[in-house]
Amino acid sequence: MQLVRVLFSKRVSISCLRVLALMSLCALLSSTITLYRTPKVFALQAKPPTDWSFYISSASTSTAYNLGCNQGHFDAGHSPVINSEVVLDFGEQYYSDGSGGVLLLSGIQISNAQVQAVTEAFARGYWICTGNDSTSTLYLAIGINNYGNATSASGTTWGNNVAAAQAYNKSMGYTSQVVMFGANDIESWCPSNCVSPSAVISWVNGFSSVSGGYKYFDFGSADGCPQYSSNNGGCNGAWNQYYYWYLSWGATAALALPEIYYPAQAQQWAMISLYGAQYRSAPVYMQGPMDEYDLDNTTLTASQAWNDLWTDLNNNSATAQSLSFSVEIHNE
Amino acid sequence: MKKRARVHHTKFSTTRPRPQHMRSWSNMRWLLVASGCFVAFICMLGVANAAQNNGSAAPTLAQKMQGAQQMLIDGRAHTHTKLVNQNQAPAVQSTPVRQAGILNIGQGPFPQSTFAVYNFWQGPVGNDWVLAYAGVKMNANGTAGLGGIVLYTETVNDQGGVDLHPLGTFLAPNGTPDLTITTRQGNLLLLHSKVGQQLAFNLVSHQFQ
Repeated sequence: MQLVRVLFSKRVSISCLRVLALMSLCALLSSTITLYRTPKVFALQAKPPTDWSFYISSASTSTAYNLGCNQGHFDAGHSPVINSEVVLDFGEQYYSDGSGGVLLLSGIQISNAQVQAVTEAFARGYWICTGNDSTSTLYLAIGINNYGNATSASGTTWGNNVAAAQAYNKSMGYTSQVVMFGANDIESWCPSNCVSPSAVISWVNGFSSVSGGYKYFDFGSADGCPQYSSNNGGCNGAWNQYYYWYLSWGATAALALPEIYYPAQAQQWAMISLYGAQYRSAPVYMQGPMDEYDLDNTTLTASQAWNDLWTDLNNNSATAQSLSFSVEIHNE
Repeated sequence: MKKRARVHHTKFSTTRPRPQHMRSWSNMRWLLVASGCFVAFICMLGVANAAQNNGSAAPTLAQKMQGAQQMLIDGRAHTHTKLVNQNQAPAVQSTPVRQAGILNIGQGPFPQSTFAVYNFWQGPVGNDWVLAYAGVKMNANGTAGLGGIVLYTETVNDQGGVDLHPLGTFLAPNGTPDLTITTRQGNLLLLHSKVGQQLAFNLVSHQFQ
């Protein structure tokens, strides 16, 4: 009885009150630290199978069909089946309104109709070669770069290419497994021909004006951007972190599939994402890294690119995220 | 002295019990600290929650992909039969038309971060179709290095497509910066740099002259 009285005595109550005050103080301090978003360590997300993207060097629809067929076999061959993401890179648009088609990286000029035909052949190859599997999905992007003629008109032309391929695929039934996107290798292109970011924003506006709500992947690099700071630092040319954030995520149609050829590029993109989290509406949520080890074995492998990008993003809770795809660029 | 000693005694003595009103004040103080911390903690939780809600007001990746998912759903609502046992490959196309000459291409089939392309020439050299990308080799730190040429040969494959075969990267001598192709003369590509140097590159021996 005396013990109970002691337990509920004023003195013990006061001691409890002091402990409670200290605990509250600790909780306050820890929550403050959490709000400042200190680095967190998570278990590395396993890399999914790597999908092949291509620098298209001809208008050959049979080549495109076979490449799509390879991807279809690949996806359907997994158990359970997997989805994939592929960019077909058609070089640069010809003429300021894009009406001249494209100039492939191999120096061959092809028309917009040929761009669509190659894309549709790839989609058909995928659809046919998934065979009895009808659930695997290909996110297929028609890509271009912003080196030459990035204007509102050329953006609209590119959006129309995407819409035309989607409409054709729908008429043929491929859209049960293939969804079309645009893509743009958005870079500053310094030092050879520094391109203005406002020109690419015009391209994006033109692309977005095409009805259908199509999205595009920004599969470029952020050359010269800061690797360790996120306060809208400058990059090569007239670019800064804001422009890369806007063009890879901030714009309604934008999705990010960044080039991660070197460790520094993962850091640059992580800082762009952090800039978005701190100063804009959101970080950049990325599809995954694009590597190019097949074309240059001095650059990061698909696993290294994945690990670097994922780690740099998830080192900070403000940019922490899961990635969906691993993509590697190849020659056709 | 007396007064000072008494104050000292009152503050630090552990043997004498403190007056009742002092103890009440001390308890009150702790109570205030505890309630202050608690309120601040609750406020902090509120701020964190608001920040999280603000973040979710911006589109998520899933929301941005919603349109694509809808296209997929629409596509699956009208499925077509796959003729999986037939050869569905398109017929092989004819060889693509290639025109020799200089083009304003800004990218080769390699990363800009390793070699920035200023312009491009393609044409026949002996029995080969050669692609030459002129520009500047980029250093690992992103600065421009020496000017040079990246060479490929291009062959047409049995699908009507083309295959690229790298011949190598050839850097200009004497610290020459970025190069641009101006013309072709026989087996020579004539180039100039931004500092006014004129060079010639032999397309057969793969050497600068």
